[in-house]
Amino acid sequence: MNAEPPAPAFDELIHQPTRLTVVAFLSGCAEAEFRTVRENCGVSESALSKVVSTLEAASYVKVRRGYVGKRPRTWLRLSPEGRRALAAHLAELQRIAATATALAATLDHHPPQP
Amino acid sequence: MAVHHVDPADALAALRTARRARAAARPRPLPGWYPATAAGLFALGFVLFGLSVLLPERLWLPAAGLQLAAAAALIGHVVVSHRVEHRPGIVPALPRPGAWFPAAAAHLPALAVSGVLALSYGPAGFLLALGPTCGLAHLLLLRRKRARAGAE
Repeated sequence: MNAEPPAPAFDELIHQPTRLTVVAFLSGCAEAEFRTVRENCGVSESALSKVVSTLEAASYVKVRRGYVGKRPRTWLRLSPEGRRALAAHLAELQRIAATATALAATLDHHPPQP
Repeated sequence: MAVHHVDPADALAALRTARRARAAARPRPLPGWYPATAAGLFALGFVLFGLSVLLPERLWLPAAGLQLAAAAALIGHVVVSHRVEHRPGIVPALPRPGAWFPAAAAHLPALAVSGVLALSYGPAGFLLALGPTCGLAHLLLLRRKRARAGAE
């Protein structure tokens, strides 16, 4: 098990809100059905298809097609690269927020001299 | 250093979005009543089956009643477990290597005790011991699972 926190790294691909929602959702489970992701992330089928294509091209998401009985199903899974990229991106967002908080605290204690 | 400009407020909003989305996919917390109910139904089912085996053949009607009640308890166990733990469309986590070990370790003594009683008292002994012992193992595993889910 890798316990080391990831190095903060901003990921332009993940930062787009819909993609971030989908990637974060997939990070909470091992695998999820396309329809479940669509319903839980509140996106349309076509929007999710585009998001998945983009993330699949970047090797962040793996797509598995199969059947439940006779019904076709598509399953989505975050790849190890995707998990690493998300962790690094979230770490970078936390760093940005923490830096801003620290800066605000400093300015509160030492207001700039006129 | 990466070239990007993200407002701290946007960063916080994105973090909140990610946290919410991730929480939506994670397993729901197990309710407090669940471990005792699931384990109790499991134990009750096997104990009732065991009692039905003990009854003499002429008491076939009470034995049938006990078997019916036992089947209802075991079906109840399966239904309750499915309703509480199953999330349609989501595979919560891939089994970790060695994840089977605690479950096996908890159930093996119960099965061993039941096996010994089966040698002495036959099928009734096996079923009457299996219910409470495996039920207890089940209870301990579910309580641990609930505590772990709460801690995450």
